[in-house]
Amino acid sequence: VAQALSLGAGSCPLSGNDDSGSERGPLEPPSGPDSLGNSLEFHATLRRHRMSLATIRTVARLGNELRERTERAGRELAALVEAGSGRQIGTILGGETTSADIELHLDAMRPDRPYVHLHTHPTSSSFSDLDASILLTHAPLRAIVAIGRDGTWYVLSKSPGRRPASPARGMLAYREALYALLPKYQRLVQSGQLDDAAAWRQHTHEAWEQFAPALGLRYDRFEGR
Amino acid sequence: MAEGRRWPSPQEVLDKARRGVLDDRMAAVPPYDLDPDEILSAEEAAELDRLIAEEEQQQRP
Repeated sequence: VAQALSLGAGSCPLSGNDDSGSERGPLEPPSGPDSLGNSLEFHATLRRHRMSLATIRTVARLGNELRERTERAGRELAALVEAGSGRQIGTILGGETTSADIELHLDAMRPDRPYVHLHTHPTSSSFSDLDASILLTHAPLRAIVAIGRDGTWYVLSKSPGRRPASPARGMLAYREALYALLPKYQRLVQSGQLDDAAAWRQHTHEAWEQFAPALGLRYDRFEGR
Repeated sequence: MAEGRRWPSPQEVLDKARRGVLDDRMAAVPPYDLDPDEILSAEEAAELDRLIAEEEQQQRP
């Protein structure tokens, strides 16, 4: 059962912007994730996922907070941001160690507005097929962001001008890619070059790099601390 | 999830996506000592092919 944590709706007093990437004003370094140490690169990449400056700031702030709380509490947390205005929608939802019920977030979305959903990955691996299925099932979701406990950020969004794949097609592509890469990572684990967790982080990342464009999706990873 | 299985089936994942339940059990279970069929069995691939065909049929004008 999801539990609402302390951050309330509208807790980020950012001014609204459209998401066309046309904000004007002084160019100041965005408040990207502290752990990355390169906030301009973070900013530029999220712009390629069609996020406004206000949205990037909210995503960076919330992502850092979710990661810190996950590190302390050892459980998965999730938040929702409206992609146009950069407003946080609803509360942070907390789940179990590796799961969270985000129905409240999905119910709060308006069909005519785009949203970015964030959640933490306590194991620091890349997106699961369930993450991608949620993105592909719920039309107002434009992008999902996963923040690993180790400070790695993953971003997946629908590419403009392309019809995204169906959830079933995304599922098939993901599992086929994992299956095809399995012998490579089994060898790395068996030879002692990588432990299970490190192999899985790289395995899931390589799978997404390979097939995301074919599904009409853009995928990026930021190395953490 | 079927007894003894550590990864959810594709159909279970698609159902959870509709309901809005994040569940990263897969992320917590690297597949290096699993039966590879837990990632994708021939039967599950065939079922996904059937779902894709259904979805594409519905999208036709």
